[in-house]
Amino acid sequence: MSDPLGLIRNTGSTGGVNMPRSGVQQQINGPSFKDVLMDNLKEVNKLQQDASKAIEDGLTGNRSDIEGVVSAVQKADTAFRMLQSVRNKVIEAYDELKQVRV
Amino acid sequence: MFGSLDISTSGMIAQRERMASIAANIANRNTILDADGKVNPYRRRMVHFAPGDPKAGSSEGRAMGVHVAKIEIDQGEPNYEWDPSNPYAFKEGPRAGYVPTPNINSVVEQINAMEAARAYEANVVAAEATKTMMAQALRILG
Amino acid sequence: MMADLFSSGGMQALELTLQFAGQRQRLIQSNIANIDTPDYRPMDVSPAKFQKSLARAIAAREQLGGDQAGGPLLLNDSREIVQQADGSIRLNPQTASGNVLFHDRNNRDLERLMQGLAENTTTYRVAADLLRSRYDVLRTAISQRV
Repeated sequence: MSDPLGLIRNTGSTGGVNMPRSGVQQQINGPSFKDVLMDNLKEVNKLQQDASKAIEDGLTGNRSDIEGVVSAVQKADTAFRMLQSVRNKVIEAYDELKQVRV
Repeated sequence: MFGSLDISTSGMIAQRERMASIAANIANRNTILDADGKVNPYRRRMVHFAPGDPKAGSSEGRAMGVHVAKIEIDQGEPNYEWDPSNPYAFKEGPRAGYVPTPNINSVVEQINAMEAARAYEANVVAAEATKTMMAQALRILG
Repeated sequence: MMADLFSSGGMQALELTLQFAGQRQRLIQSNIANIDTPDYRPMDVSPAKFQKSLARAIAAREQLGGDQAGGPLLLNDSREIVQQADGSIRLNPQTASGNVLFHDRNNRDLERLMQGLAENTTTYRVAADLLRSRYDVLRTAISQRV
């Protein structure tokens, strides 16, 4: 019978998880979660500093566009809230892990 | 931050100065004597605008506003009205019996006045629009 | 620690601007109310000078170590803007703005006065809104709820 999506032919995998065959090492590629988190921390910090500088430049007259100032401030605040959210989720996940009875 | 407000303000001031000269023209439509009492009919005042406003506070206002560059006094010939009984009429010469009167057409001046008023209003609307835009930018802050 | 909380993110500059605009509003209102008064001398404080003074204070604080480490912003180079002991400022208008000699028929342009009013109001609003958003972020951080 026809099998346009190839769902039936794939007998080796279930769902989306490819179980590694024994003896084959899984390659871990890409940065670790810790690196990603630290990078984002640095980025949020940089955005906050940019926003402070934009505010001060706008107040002293070095910058004449209020749109730029408001946009920089809003970017920084949104990024901060995003980071806050991620941190809350990580702590929640850790709390759940703690509950696991070994 | 406020360059565009400067530009609209300079437009308003220029139109008001223009209105002042139009009002002077209308008021002096029949003025034959000058300040010393001699026969010297009133001459029409015209304002000339030029871009840029040196008195503005911001660099945009100085570059892009408007100001009155010159108030020119019309040097043409006055009108002559036939009125031999008038004490100010010419006594002899080719224009004996004529009185020199200002060369002001009040209909033209009234139309100019309406136009100046409309231009003033347009500048006010532009200034209001600028203020609204700034307030809306602040709404992003939430 | 509490004082350092409020010296980051441009909050000091925002507070100073807010105070400046709030006090200048009174001067401008007085000028507008007295537009037909003969012999009235319009009193004003130049916002451009305030901005330069603020820029110098920020640069001086930069020398001492930047945003939080540099301490409070000190505005001390203008007789018209006097900084009190607690950091707040008081305006002391010394010069008459514009022409010194004017006839009774006003040389004061009503349009420029209204423009000054509009600019001052907008500055106040910008400073207030930005300050509010900075306080919001602080509250978010403290309460840990997004």
